[in-house]
Parts: sequence; structure tokens; C-alpha cells
Amino acid sequence: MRRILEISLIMLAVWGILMAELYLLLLVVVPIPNPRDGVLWLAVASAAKIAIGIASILAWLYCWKRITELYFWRRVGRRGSAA
Amino acid sequence: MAAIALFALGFLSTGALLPPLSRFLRDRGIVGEDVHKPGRPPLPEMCGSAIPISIAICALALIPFSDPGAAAQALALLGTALISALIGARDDLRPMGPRLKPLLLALAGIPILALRAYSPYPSLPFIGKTRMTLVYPLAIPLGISVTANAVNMMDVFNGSMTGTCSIILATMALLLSLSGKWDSLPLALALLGSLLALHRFNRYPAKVFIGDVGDLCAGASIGALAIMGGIEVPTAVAMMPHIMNAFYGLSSMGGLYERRQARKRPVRLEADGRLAATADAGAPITLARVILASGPMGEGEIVKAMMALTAISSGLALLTFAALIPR
Repeated sequence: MRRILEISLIMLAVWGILMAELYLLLLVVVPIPNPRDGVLWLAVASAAKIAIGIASILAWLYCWKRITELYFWRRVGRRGSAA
Repeated sequence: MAAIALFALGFLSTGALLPPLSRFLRDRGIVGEDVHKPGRPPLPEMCGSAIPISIAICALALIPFSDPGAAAQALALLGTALISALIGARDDLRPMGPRLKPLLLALAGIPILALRAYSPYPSLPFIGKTRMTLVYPLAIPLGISVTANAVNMMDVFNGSMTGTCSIILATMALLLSLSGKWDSLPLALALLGSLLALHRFNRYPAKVFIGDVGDLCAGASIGALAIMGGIEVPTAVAMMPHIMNAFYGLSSMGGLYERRQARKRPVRLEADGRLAATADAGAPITLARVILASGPMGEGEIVKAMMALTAISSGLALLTFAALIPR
């Protein structure tokens, strides 16, 4: 029961980070207006928004991997030292 | 009414097919070893072939009573299920490489594209409907391949695939009802019925194995139903344990891999019949290994833990669905 709770908390954290990122991306980053008129500025602003989106997804995946690895090796280490 | 009838048809057709199918497969020597049990008993493989057959029966029964839109969805699901099942059957009989299989599975998205059984206006959390007329069709083959492989990677213990996918499909059926997607609902319930019937035979201690034929068909069908029903984001959240399992494996192995290619096993069988996580840094960190990190467990208990995690992710999927409704 305890381990289900612990892994659920990891899942909840991962879901919470995803929702927070989606909120920031969809409601804050995407609506930012172009700094100036013109096709070049439109392209620059769009590329910047896409780069921010990709960077935030990569950061999310990295967080997920680190949280899981940290949990797993701590648990295995504790079990190993107890044995 | 059609939804309840199709659920019953899915359940009964799979339940009726399984005993003769398992005898047929056992007689022809299509068996696999249950490696997580002492003595490694042989069980008939590829019994998941009952899933595409059941989907075919249900889809063909539904089409004469459907309007053109619902008939297109039933045909698209049938096409996706059959293509993915054929790829799975080929993989069961002659294993494919870890890169070829996901590529071929993308082909299972073609029936959805060809029959235009999708809406290129998916709903995203906080902002609601979005317009993705160019990107969305390109993402469909990718989505089908991802769901099929994620479900396939979850089928590591008796009943782990059928149990977790049944919970996901029940959640999807609820979401389809809440969003008024009545065309997709009977198809989701038909697949749920089929998986529940299969679960009776595959749960711990299993009498049959599903094989890639059933895993890939069930996963691709879940992906197809999410796309056709417009519930892509909540379904992805409900599938978090499956995605976690696949992602952990991929990230710890550094890329696509096949279970049989992993030289170091993530779990080992203890003398008392329980399973324990290995402490080998080179073995993939799968969901089962993470569950077992705190200590050994019986196979049936691990599957119950996986199902409990899927039930929690399904709760998160309902919360995500609530966030889809624009303010």
C-alpha cells in the first residue's frame, strides 16, 4: 500500500508539472504578441515559442526521469543496506 | 442500448472463442513459458487473436444500424485492429527488430486517415478546441504506434495488460459519455467487453498468454478510439503507468529495445516464488522494477499494484477532462 502511495505521488508530481507547463505555454507564451510587424518578426517570434515549448517538454521528461531514478536507487539502496 | 449490446457481444464472443482457440494453439505447439513461476509451465501463446476477431464481429454487427459517420468509425477501428494484429502475429511467429515494429505500426493509423474518422480540432487543457488541420493527420500514425507499443511493453505479468487496459477503457467510455461522443462509445465498450473476457483467462495464475497479436491490437485500438472520440489528452493521462513503463525502459536503455534484447533482467524470481527487483545498473528501470524497489512481492500483488496505479491515473484523466472545458 505504501509503495503504491509513493509511486502515485511521483505520478501526481509528473502530471502536476505537465499541467502547469501546459498552462504557462498555452495561456502565457503562445498569446505573447509579436514585438514588431513584418514576416521576419513573425517567424522569429514563432520559432522562439516553439523552442520554449520543446525546451519545457524536455525539462519535463528530465524531471520525470530524475525523480524516478532518485526514488528507485534510494529504495534499492535502503533495502540493500538493511539486508 | 447499442452500447450495452456491443459490450455483451464483445464479452461473449471473446469468452466463446478462447477455449477452442487456446486448444488449437496448444495442439500446434504455439506455447510460451510462464517465466515468473517455478517450473516455468507452458501456456498457449497468441490467444489475444480473439480481440481482433471480436472487434470484427462487433463492428460488422454495428455497421448496418449506424449512420455514415458511425459506420466510418467502426470500419476505421476494424482496419486499425486488423493491421496491428497482423503485425503482432508476425512478431509472435518471427520476432521483428525494435525499430521496424513501431514503424510498421504507424501504418495502422491509415484506416483512420483514409476514412476521415477524426476531427483535426483536438481539445487541449485550459484553452479547449484548437485548429490543427495540418499537424493533426501527421500525428495520427505516431499516436497509434505509441499507444500500441506502450500497451505491449506493459504485458509482462499475468493479467497486467488486460487488467490495466480494462480500467483505461472504462474511463474512456465514461469520458465519451460525458462528451456526448455516442458514435465511439459502443466501440469502446465492445473492446472493454472483449478485454474483460480475456482477463478471466489471463489473470494470475494465467491459463493463456495474449501475445503481441493481442497487445498491439488492444493498444492500437485504444489509440484509435481516443482519436476518433476526441479524448486524446485525457486518454494519454489515463495511460500514464503504461507511458511511465515505456519511458523508464527507453530512458534507462538509451533508446528503443526489445524485452528479449535486454541482457540484464529488471526482476528475478526468488526461491519462495516471489519477484524481486535486481540492483543491476545495466537493467532497464521498468514500472515493475520501480514497484519492487521496496521489496519482493508476489506476481498477483504486482498486477494489483499496476491496476491501482492505473485507477489513480484514470482519476487524473477525469480531472484533465474537466480542464479541457474552456473557461
